[in-house]
Amino acid sequence: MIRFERVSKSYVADGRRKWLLRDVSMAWPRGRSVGLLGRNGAGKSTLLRMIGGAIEPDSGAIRRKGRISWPLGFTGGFHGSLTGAQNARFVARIYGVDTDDMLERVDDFSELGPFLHMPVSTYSSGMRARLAFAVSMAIDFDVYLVDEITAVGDAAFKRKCLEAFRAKLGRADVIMVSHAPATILEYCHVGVVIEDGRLSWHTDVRAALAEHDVNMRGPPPTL
Amino acid sequence: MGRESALAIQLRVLFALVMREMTTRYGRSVGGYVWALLEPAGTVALLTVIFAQIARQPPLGDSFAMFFATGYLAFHVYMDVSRAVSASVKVNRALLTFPRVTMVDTVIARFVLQLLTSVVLFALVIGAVLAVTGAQTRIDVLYVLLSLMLAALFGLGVGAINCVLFAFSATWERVFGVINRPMFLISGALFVIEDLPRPLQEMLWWNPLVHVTSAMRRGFYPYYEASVMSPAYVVLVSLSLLVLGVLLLRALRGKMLEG
Repeated sequence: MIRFERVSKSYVADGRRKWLLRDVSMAWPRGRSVGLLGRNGAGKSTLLRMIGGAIEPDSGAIRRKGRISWPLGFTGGFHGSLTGAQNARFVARIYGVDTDDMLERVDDFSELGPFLHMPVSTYSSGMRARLAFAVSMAIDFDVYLVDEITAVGDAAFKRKCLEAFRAKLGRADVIMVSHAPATILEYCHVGVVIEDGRLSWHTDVRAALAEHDVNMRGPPPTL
Repeated sequence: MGRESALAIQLRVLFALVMREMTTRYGRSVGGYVWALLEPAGTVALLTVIFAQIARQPPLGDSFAMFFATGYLAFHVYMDVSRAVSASVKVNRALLTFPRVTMVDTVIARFVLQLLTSVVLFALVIGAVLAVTGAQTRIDVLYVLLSLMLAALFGLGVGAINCVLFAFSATWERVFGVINRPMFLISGALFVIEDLPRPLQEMLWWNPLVHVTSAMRRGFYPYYEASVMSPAYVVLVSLSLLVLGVLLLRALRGKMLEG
């Protein structure tokens, strides 16, 4: 369960204050996967990172229960001078997962082979992404945050990622940002549209997509 | 997946951070540890050689090596701890990706690891000096521990404030480096405060590190009374800095996250 209590977030651009969230209170129930929709710059990614705790609201509070992932595919948390294995062990320790078990699963999933024992600073961005994905799959999160399921690796690896991710969804929820309506329809039950500092909740994801469609056709509200 | 207590998570995060710090700081080279040992030992040796030429007797006892070791090594514990803690935000900003890790956690982890390292180094170098000089002394362990505790606490206070300030101002980091350099000269590594003329004594008394070196000397020289030493003063200054630093860390968390 994630609960927003009077959450506000804004920033100033070109001398004007832009509200991403304005005094929003909302409960995100467990057992439902949520698609986040909104026009470019409406604050979808920021909202996702606020849910994960990587960005703080200006005012109000976000209460969380259960384990929430960092945005999937995000690789910024790794230490360059540590090896992939050492980084994986560190994350395992933070989340209370057995380190040997973690290593075995990461080794198996990431297909990094001997590179797993090389410093992460020597990795290509694709290798980093594979490590990040493998690590997040080795932990049983209650809620997965996804900011666009981006392409990682070749077609076979992509398929493997999607399969692993689908298997997780039986036991975990997902909060997902995507520009592709098909992806949202595939993974999400409910939809939340972010527009002009407000969140509107739709129990049917199709209704959310319809509202989003109307927003996209209308003029931007701040101009 | 059982619900864990906040304390269990906290302890696990600290353990993970200490392990991570150990691998990143010293893991790759034995050289790091060797240098950490050679730097203070070399400084004590150098001071001993130079001052043995200039003066006939140290202000306390008859061994220059012992006199400088007791002063400089205590000062060195402060330097190492404050330096390690000061860097905690800069070095670990990427960790904020994992919301379970707070900057206060990284401060605690770096402090604990540096304190353990510093105490071991201190014991090794002091042990070597005792062995080499064959100095006969009755060590008062309580005062030695008091000195180490005060040095570490003051280092923690200064580091906690600076880890926030350094993250926001590179200028302050440079200015502080310049201010901090002559600290060594006015911290009692080279003198005993009670020997100084009154006005100078009253001025230097405000430097917490003078009390740190006094406590250490009190531990190694039974007849030295350390009559102007005030541990309470050091504790007060250190805790004030520490509280301010932690408040800043919490208040500015949002800003630091956005870099």
